[in-house]
Amino acid sequence: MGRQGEGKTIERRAFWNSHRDGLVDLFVGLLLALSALVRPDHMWWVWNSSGLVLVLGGPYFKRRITEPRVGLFVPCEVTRNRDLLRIGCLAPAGLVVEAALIGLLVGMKAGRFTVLEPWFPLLVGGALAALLAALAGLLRLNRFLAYSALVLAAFLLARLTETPARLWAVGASCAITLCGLFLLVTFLSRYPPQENMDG
Amino acid sequence: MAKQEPAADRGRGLLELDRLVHEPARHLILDLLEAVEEADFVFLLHHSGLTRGNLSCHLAKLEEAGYVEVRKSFVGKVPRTVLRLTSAGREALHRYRAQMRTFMGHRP
Repeated sequence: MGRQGEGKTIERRAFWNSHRDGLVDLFVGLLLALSALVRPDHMWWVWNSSGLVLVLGGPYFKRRITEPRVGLFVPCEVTRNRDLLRIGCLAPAGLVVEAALIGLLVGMKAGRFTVLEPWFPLLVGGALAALLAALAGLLRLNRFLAYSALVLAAFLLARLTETPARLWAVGASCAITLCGLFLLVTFLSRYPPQENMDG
Repeated sequence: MAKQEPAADRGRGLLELDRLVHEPARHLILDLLEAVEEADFVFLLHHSGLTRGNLSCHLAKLEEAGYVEVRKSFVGKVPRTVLRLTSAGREALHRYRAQMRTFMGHRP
């Protein structure tokens, strides 16, 4: 393996370690559960306020839970710029998909796009699965690919069995939340906080 | 055919290795710091597997040589040490690797 490859491996391991706490899994699981439980026309409110929770709460919990246990690192400039570019592309794309789904929902309520009505839950499932897959790439966590497949499978099963997609979505989000909880408990028990972060 | 360097010259090259970088624990610390922009003491402790005292001792030597920049700050009431590889440290690491490559390249 070349030097660059080794550096990337170290960096990847550092990313993996800093997300071993399961906090992102818990956040995603709870967000999906909440989205499945509220009325579809209130979902935009849940999603947009969750962004605020993520921006304000994320660093707080990382500082309180993760950093005293496995430390803090700042990725190198190339990685930071690449991540910023990815976020810069993904965030507008996510907003466009969100707006399109809301537009579709409003249109269906007004009696338009009726042909798409049976497929709407599957469209939502596909969008969520794509979001989770993008998150897997951004956080360098393969388990988010499994979550993505789980969510897609849940919405597909809902369509195939003609049962309410909400039930399946709650089931999938509970599985993700439990996974996050398990990771958090394991992380807390495996890594005691370092009382002194001083060298 | 290229003329081979005499064995004695290659041996002398090995003697010129930077011993500060050659030490495995310090080499590991420099490798870790090279992969990131900066990292704190707990990160190095966690990823190197060294003991607190050992890590502190090696970091002090690297700081003294100007290979590592040490920044002390507070998170609330808890002191935190943040470390960064300096350009001199990066150069020393690259030079050491080049020297090792040259030496190992001649080994049968």
